[in-house]
Amino acid sequence: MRSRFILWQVYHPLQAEGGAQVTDKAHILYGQEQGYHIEVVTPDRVNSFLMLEDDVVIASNITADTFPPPLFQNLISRGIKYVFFPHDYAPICKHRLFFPMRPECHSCAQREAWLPILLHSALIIWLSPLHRQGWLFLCPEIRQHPYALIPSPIDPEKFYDMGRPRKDIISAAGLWPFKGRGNLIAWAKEHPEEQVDVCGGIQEDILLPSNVKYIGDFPHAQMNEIFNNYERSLFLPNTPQPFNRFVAESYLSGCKLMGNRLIGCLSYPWFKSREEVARYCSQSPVMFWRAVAPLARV
Amino acid sequence: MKPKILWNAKDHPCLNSGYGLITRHLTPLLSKRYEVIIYAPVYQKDHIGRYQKMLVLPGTKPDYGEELILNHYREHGCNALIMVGDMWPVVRSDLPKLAAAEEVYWIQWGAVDYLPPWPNFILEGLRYCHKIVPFSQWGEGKLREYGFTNVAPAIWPGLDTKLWKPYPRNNFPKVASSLGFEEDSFRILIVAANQGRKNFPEHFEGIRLFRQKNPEVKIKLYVHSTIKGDRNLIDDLHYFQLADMTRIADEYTVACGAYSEEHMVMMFASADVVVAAALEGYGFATVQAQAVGVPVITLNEGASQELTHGGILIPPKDWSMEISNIKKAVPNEMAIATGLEEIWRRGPDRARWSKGAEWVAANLDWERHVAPQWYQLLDRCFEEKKRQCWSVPEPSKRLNKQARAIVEVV
Repeated sequence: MRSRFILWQVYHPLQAEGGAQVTDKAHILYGQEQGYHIEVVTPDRVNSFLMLEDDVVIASNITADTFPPPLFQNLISRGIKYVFFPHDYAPICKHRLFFPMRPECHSCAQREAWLPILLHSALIIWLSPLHRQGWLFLCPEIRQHPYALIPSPIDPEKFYDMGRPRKDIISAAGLWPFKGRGNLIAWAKEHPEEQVDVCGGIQEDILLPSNVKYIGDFPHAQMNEIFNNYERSLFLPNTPQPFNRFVAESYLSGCKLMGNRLIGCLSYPWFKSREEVARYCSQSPVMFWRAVAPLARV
Repeated sequence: MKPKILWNAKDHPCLNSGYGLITRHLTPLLSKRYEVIIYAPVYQKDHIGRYQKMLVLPGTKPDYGEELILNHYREHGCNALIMVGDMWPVVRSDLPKLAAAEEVYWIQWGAVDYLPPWPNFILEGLRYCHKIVPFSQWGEGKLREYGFTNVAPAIWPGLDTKLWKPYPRNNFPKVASSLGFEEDSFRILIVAANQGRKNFPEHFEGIRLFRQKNPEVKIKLYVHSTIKGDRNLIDDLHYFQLADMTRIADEYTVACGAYSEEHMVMMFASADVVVAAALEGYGFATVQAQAVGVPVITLNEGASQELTHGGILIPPKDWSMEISNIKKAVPNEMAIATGLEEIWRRGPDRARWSKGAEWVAANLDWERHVAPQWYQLLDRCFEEKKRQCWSVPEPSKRLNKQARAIVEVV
């Protein structure tokens, strides 16, 4: 019997539109085209889902409360292989993208529970070299563990330069506190001559400088159109971001980037030209299945 | 900055209830090390007050809704909520949900006073408590048997041992007289809330049997409780033919909580025996009797087993089930009668029961014994909480530096 790939996800990738779900959706669709048997298991059915010994679990975007350690201990005791594919710093860091990289993170209470689970995994997938560095800061013990670096999948046919006239600066989700709201506001205040438009990532009223304007929340499919109106994109997170698809997408859409060293995609050595970024990001599902498929029994 | 604790023992520290006394004696000691804010809906109903230098917050759930504790906790930026009291009503509140969502760091110090099997609502609700601190080692053992891993070592509530210490039997003749006690009488004392679980009928039947067997003994009984509660004690006393030899506490003074701690000491010290044969998670009457050198008759089940050092443990004869599916033990009435007879035969020499007083002095002083255990526990809790990273931490200095260095890709 062929192995099934069981994707554990907090949200169903075909029903939600967060970055992790967009990534998983691309991997699932490509995997299905290749003929792999893929099942998505969300927390509501993880306890009732019948696991088989030949299954390969891909623990993608899980949290400690939705997929707690005993589920993994069960896999380990049954000899079921699993891939660990974090999209942020959960399940160890419950603050996820707020991962502060503080010295006390080494004695984090969650670390004790999850380190053995990481070490028992067949493979760990990171979204970028910076993402891996963050995890190594938390768990230096996994330095020698098998891993793959797989960038977020982006379709260059959906994100491209439309050749329109451009002006000003765009930032997506930059007003989330963990995506560097303070840095963005400080930068705008220091550059009053620049107009910064911000989309997405806002849930409360915020007092913004006069040169920062919130333009609303847009569906992912509309973002290429939006980016093509702007000359530059700005993103200044204050904690290490695993990849940050907005940065890569806006770059492919023709924006010049202004960022910092806490943006995961910028830690790839190939993030130097649009051609290279398009090549690697479009190949992401291929790279993903090339890493994962050998774990299956044929 | 000192960690902030919201202390909820229900009763105001000025009240002489068990929980009032706990708050009165322990919170000033805790406030030496932490910032303690007291929430005391019983007595402090509608304005903020102070006890010593600590804030006392008001409000009851019926007036302000379920979220009142959460509002107090948030408003004052508390780091932990210590709930003192019975666990079973707490697990039916919103608190387990708030604790599960990490809205509140919940420490529960209280009585475990139910026989297995425990109802599911208790087992489910206590799972979310961050630290369960039982009043007794018996309770701790039961929690561990049920597989709880969030259990701290038991901490016995204390006594003011400067006040609660042995006194000669006839030291307080006026108080004794007010209780109906005479010098040549065998003085029996019951101090218990008027609740079904306190086994008043079995206590009364035990005393009746003792009286029946020893008609020559001049028995006087004083019941420190309210006449009406779960039972009508006047009716009970008539039923068990004890009304002629019994006095009951003044209803109004009990209702106002106005019997002072000093009065309670004198009351206990004037008795020859205290009967407290109920399944308890702690048992204040048990330790108070022993503290003043008076023997106590307790139940050989629950916390009394570890607390009775100067007295007689009697076996349960059966169990009963309360409305909330909680099982309680019922004492053997004949054993109560036998216990009374043994204590009466030994005579009023309190030296025979001195082990109880010695044990209390060596284990239950607030300052020497109870507070240090709390310091140790709370320090550990705050350390654990830090490791659990409750609040969103500031990024490290290194990250801040990296965040400021602009990179451009054209």
